[in-house]
Amino acid sequence: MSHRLTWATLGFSLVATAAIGLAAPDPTPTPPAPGEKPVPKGEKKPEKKKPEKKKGKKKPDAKGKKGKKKPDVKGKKGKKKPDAKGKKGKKKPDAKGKKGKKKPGAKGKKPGAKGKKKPEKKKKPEKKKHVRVVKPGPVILIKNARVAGARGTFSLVMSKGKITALARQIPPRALQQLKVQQTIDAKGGRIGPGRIDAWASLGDAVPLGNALDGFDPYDTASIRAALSQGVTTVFLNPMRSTAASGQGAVIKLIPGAGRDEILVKEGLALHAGLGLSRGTLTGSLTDGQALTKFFEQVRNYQDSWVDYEEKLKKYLVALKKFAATQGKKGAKKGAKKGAKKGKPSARPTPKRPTRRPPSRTSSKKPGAATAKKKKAGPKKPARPKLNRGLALAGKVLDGELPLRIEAHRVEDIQNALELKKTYGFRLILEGASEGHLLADALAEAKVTVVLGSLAQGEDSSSYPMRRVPDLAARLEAAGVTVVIGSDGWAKSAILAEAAGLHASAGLSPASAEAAITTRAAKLLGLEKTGELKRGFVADVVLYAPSEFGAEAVSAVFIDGRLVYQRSTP
Amino acid sequence: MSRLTLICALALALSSPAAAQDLAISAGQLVVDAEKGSVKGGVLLIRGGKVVSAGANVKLPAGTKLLKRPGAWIVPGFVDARAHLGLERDIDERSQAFANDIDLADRVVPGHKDFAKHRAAGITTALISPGDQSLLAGAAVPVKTTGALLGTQRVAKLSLTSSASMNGRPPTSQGGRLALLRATLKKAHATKGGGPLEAFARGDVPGLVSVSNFTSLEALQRLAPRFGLRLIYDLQASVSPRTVKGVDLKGVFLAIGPGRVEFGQAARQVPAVLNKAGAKVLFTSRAPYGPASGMRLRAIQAAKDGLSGAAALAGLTSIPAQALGLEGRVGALTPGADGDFVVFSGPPLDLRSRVLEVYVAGRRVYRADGEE
Repeated sequence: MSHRLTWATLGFSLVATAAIGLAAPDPTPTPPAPGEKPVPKGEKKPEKKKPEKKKGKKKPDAKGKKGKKKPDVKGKKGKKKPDAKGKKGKKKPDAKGKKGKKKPGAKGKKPGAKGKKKPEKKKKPEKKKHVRVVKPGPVILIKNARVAGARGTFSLVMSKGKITALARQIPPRALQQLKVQQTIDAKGGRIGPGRIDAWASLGDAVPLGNALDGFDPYDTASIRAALSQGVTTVFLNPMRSTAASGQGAVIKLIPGAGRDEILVKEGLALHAGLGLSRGTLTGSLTDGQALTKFFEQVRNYQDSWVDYEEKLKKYLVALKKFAATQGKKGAKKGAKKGAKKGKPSARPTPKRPTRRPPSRTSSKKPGAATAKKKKAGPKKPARPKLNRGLALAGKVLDGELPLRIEAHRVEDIQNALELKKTYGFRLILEGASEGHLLADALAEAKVTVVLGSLAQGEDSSSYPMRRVPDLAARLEAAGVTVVIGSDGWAKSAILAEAAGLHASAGLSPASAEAAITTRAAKLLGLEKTGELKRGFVADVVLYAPSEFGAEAVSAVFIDGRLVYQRSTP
Repeated sequence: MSRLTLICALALALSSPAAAQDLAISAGQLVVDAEKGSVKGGVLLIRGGKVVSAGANVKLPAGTKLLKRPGAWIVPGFVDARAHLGLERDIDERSQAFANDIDLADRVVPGHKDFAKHRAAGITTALISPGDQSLLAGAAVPVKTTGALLGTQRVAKLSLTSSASMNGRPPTSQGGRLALLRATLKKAHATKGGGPLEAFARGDVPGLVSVSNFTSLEALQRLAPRFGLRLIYDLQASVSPRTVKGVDLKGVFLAIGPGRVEFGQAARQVPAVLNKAGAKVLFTSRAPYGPASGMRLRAIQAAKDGLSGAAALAGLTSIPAQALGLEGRVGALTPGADGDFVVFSGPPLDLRSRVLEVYVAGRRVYRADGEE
């Protein structure tokens, strides 16, 4: 919240970013790039795209195409969401390969077209695709450990980064088979899953930047502080400076490790803030308008590409006809071949004297070249300028990425819900200090809420929020999924306390624990994480035997390797 | 003084109905004294507002109805050795270096909303104290969080921090403050005056002294045996654990302000470091300048970073009671003590545990589902 002032100009920056983006197209055309390649492959793809997007813009319901793909999609928001979640779950493991995979699943009906298109789309992400390096550790056995919700003690074995056994008794023979190299006696202390901070705001993210770039893996003091409180995984949330405020990243808190090792995944959501530029009472108004304006720009941007593809298609048809009328054999052959491949017809265009790289013209046919040279030929439509930010936001409108909005006051939360209704994106709400007043609406819209730490003391601002201590409990009672984060990278150490304070005000202890483990893992799409189960990632926290319930973390394992051990002060 | 009478009358009114009745209550775990662990399935019997017996084998008088709180924890009511609750703002009289005539009992507002917040945090006894802006800021007054005074008991409130020299009032340095205090105590020690200064100088009442470093603490420690001073030090700044090295803190009462979730690891370790150096660490809320629940939060943070659970819970109950000279009366549920206790939904140092009920003198004064 301290950044409220910092981002006092959200409204402006929103517009500014968009404007800059348009003026100076990004050289790396990651998302919209399909425009370029699809063209050639084209015939089919553009077809699909067009109707989809058109409907998107003209009829928010998007019943036409989407309806065909997935019958569920018709009732836009409610149904879209579950849909989206399902996708998310599947999607995430791949991190970046996601789009490619997702779409095939979703569109399924026209394998031909997709088959062609996807490989191309995939290629780009694959270049960046991050494969996490997991250093091997010894096979470790923790014995005499208690587990929440069960009587007696358990033994747990970790090997190759995974939990390979968890049972009350592991027979010696089994232990031999597991080749245990190191044994730790928990002496009745508890073991639990590593805690996951689903909301760690990070510094001053540059619009369209990557939160990870602002993370200092050598800030071992902060890392160790977080580990000392049992936090193993953190979602670095870019600050909400603009609607397209960059991409967050999920990292593991391994002291001294480099990016390859800590980075789990990135590009999970787009981030925005509503009401954070308050200072005047019109803050909500300007922010809400700015975000709406931004999404209008996104739509226009998407439309411009759809229009382009449509025109391009017409152009290609016209080109073919034109070539035919020219009556040259070479030209005809060229055209036919092109048609077969799906793309070739497009090739002619690049052949003109141009600045484009030679690779694009690689499949040029002599015939096509001649066709081009004819002066009376059809005119190729102008390609819209690329804008990475708008393209990224387009993914939100397409339901590929959720939008995480930080909003606290009733009016701002309402604005967020309205935006969700209008544009049909998946919404994750952060903060929600006055969320209890809209608990039912949030539950109905199936919005997951990420709460920060409970505000302590009195709100001294001149326009205090209507806070309640039992916010989490009330939201949960209304049926809202509650996740808890720290709202500060260096403060991830407070995560358990943040959850504890919500619990001491009425949230059930089990929910408080889930909010920083299983639910956080689900929100971030982390598979097999957040629970102590066989086959799950061995992010394990060992607590000292507690006295009166105070559980001190005594050791932390990430991927089965010891990364933190408490020393006595 | 009419207000004081009113408070007394109110206290009487609050305690009298309970006096006639027995209260018997059992819980999953009963903590009689924080330093002696917990009793599984323990029973607490209270008569006339006082503890009759507490433990595993309590014989109930015939016809006594036993209240059962299975799964819950019964813990002695917390004792807050420094708070500013129940006062209208502007609590400090800044005109004199020694405000020996100020008695905060005159200033307590019965029924102030702060009391309810304190009760909800499981605090049953609190020292209502003036601030740090005079060398002697007056007499602090221990109260039950029902608003009732604990008899005529007082605690002298002193300060050696720079706040005591506010507005350029001499003495202006730490050395000057110490010298003036020493000289004044020497004079007061010999007199029979009835103010908090004299009572403190004679060792009749404890003094809560705000210090911002260990130098002034050591200086006072050297004075203590000569006058028989009873001292509680209130550490002002967040002290770095490193500065504790070499300071003899054996048996010294050290009060630590409320916790904040923002605290880094170093701050969290301070209580453990002080405890290791021999100090008896107690936790305070400083409400309403911090949340009443900050006291328990600080103890939990300390227990998660090196302090033993027993020491942390004692720092909320028996240690502050000893420091204020109220041992045997509050801070532990030993026979004869006041029937002040808290029912927690789980272990008291698990932050997730809720305060379900609070009793003062055997009478319920708070219930999580709604104020009594």
